[in-house]
Amino acid sequence: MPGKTRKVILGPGVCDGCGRCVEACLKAGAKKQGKGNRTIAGIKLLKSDTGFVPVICRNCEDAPCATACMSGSRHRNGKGRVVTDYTRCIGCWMCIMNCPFGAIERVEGEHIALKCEGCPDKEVPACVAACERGILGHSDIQDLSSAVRKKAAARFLTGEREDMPAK
Amino acid sequence: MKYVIVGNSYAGVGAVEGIRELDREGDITMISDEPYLAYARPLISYNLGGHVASKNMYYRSAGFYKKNNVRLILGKRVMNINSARRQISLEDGTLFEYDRLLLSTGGQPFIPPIKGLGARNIFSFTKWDDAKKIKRIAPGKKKAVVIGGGLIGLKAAEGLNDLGLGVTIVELGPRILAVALDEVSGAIVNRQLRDNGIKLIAGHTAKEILSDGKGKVCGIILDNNKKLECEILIVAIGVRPNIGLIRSTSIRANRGILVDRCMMTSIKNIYAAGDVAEAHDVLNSRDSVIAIVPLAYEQGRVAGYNMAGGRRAYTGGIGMNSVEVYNLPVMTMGITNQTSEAHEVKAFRKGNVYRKLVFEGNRLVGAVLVGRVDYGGVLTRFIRSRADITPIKRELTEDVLRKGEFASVLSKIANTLNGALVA
Repeated sequence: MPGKTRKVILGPGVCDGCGRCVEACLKAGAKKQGKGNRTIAGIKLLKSDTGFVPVICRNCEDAPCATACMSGSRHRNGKGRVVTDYTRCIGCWMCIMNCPFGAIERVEGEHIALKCEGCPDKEVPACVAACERGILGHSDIQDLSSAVRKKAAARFLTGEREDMPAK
Repeated sequence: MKYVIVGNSYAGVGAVEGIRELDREGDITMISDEPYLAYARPLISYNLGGHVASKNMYYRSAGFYKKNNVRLILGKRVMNINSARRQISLEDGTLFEYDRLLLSTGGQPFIPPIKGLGARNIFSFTKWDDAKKIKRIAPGKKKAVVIGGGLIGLKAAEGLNDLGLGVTIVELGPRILAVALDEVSGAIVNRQLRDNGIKLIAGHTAKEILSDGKGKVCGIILDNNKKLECEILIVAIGVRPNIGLIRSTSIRANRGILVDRCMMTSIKNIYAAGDVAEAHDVLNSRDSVIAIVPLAYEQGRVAGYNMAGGRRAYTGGIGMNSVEVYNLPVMTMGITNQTSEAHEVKAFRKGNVYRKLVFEGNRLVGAVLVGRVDYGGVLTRFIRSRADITPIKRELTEDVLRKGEFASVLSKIANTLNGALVA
């Protein structure tokens, strides 16, 4: 669904940190548009006491990174995707200070605040395609709220509670 | 519907985007006394220092105004508001009628009375034109003094230093960024400045400005009678809300224009947003003026949406800032200098890496990150949401701050909540 607005979402289950998503992201080379030529993945895996946590841009509806961007380099495009013009990013880190997921990386030498740009030219984002455990998924934004509600309902019916928000 | 927006910076642009969420047709007029399309105001120091080209200074694409069908009037000052007739008038007498009016006039530099202020080559540093004037006269000059070590003074000093001038900052407070930084982070930043050629004289201020025979500034005398030479003087003591325009109206104001949660002033159909507004402050029982980009845009967006007939509340802001001082990233959010017994601090410092969390009961109310700033946004969200974070607080021990586990703990929390605090 190229051109459609979608976001990468995290499904239930535990990520085992295999790293295929990171590899696929690097191979997709989507992050070469920075000022330098270093390729940096837009997804990272952090180890926690219960497994691994994939950290990636969720394309928030009320994107605090775009709101906070001083230069205007991070903005929502016509298709509803929060994207970045890295030639105009100056590395003030205002977006990092406002991203509630920690999904933006400070690229020190190049003074750019890097995040996943959503593989706009691909049918399925590279990381999602590479995830064998189905932790990473993607959804059209319009479909997402109903999907979330259905999932919450299913959870309620089956009594599953493990990925409910912490109280 | 006729909308008039006074001011063409972050709040004004936010308002245009907020209005257009609901109303594609209404007539929008934007008026600014500056001659430029909306530009990235905090970047004027980068432009001065040669790090950002003028073509990259614009906040929105060149097509922004056309796409949003905005009539833009630049270089004209609004002189008067007639709220009974719903009209505003420009200095040349032109009248504009409005159904909804937004005041997003920002701030203006506060210049205290100092003897000798009439000398040439003295500047404030809040507008692109300030940076341009400085850049024009800088060649051949060797020394500059900046009075005021707040964010504007710091940025001006960096810009001048990048142009090759020797720069001294004179700050009355005990350190650079005296309000935002605490003692430890202030010391780290001070050293970073010194190592990069910027000198700081803290605890002092200027009592007199000296000029040469041609009327050009040639130095200042400090309150301890010490003399500092300079050929360029920047006065960056502070910025005040630019509220002169409301004098002819009954719009209520303290320091800034008072607004309700919809960003409406005490006069119906007139809204205010950005550095001119005194708006909801989540860490304070009273509203306050918090002059920072993210809140200006947010407030403008909320104001615009409500002006167009929507109903959306401003959720409230906190003071926060992120700067990079010669490759050293520094973030401050909320209450960074604990003021009461109720504040509980967890902190860690090693070299240039500093992490400090300020709690009030089970809530996070402030944070400082120096050196490593990844995941700062998770903390910001905790502070702004005023959430009870009892289990998280338990996990964020000083031991976690000390080890590199800070990031993964924060990330795990953010993703466990899976947006619960976001949506």
